[in-house]
Amino acid sequence: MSAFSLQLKNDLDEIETLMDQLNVYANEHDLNETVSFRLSLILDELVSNTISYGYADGRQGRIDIRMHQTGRHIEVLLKDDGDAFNPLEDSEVPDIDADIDDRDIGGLGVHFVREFSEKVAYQRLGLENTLTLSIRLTDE
Amino acid sequence: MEVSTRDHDDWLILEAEGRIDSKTAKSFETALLTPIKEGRQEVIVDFARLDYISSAGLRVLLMAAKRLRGPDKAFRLCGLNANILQVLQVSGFDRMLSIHDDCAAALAPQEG
Repeated sequence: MSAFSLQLKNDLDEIETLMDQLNVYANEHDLNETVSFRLSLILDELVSNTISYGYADGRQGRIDIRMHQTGRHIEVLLKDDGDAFNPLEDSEVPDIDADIDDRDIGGLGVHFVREFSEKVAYQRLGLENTLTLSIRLTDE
Repeated sequence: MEVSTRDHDDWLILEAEGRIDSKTAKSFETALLTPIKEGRQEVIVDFARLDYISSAGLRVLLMAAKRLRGPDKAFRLCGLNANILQVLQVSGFDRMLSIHDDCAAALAPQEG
């Protein structure tokens, strides 16, 4: 069984739980270091964005993460009950050629998501944001 | 995430161990920026025992790099594993920051 299911509160303290649970999953399923790293990075970036920016009124919320493996990919589903927000459209595009004086950090998380995963898709369904993506099981 | 520091001549060498993620980045920020704000001008960050970094950690590196621009100042990274190096490459940070294989290489005087 390669299924994974985790619910988190919209609290930055939950990142530690997320990262620990992903490490357990990676070990249980013998994911190679690069795949494990990318999985953690993508979810860290997306979940912390949701926690930091997804609940403008500060209400308590719920973030759902589910994963399973197909032959060559890890399929990830991320849902939250935050404000409508599509990270794919609503984030800045980082200027990766800027020098130190001009550089800022905006949009870098989503940039990593695009770089390290495939078939990233967003939907707003009722009162939930839903993001799906695939991560290759062999590194490139 | 644990940070330890040591001095080597005028260099401050800061070693980060574990993970710099969205949660632990705050303590990394305190550990790295405090000595810089207090006047340290030549700083090496050794990532030999770091397993993971996310954009929150890169933000801290950028903050340090911005403060250590100019003559008589230096900011160098060393010991990056392949995954961490790739994160810096994908983000363009490898072109902005001075990256070395290991600490000994980072301490060697740079020409020019």
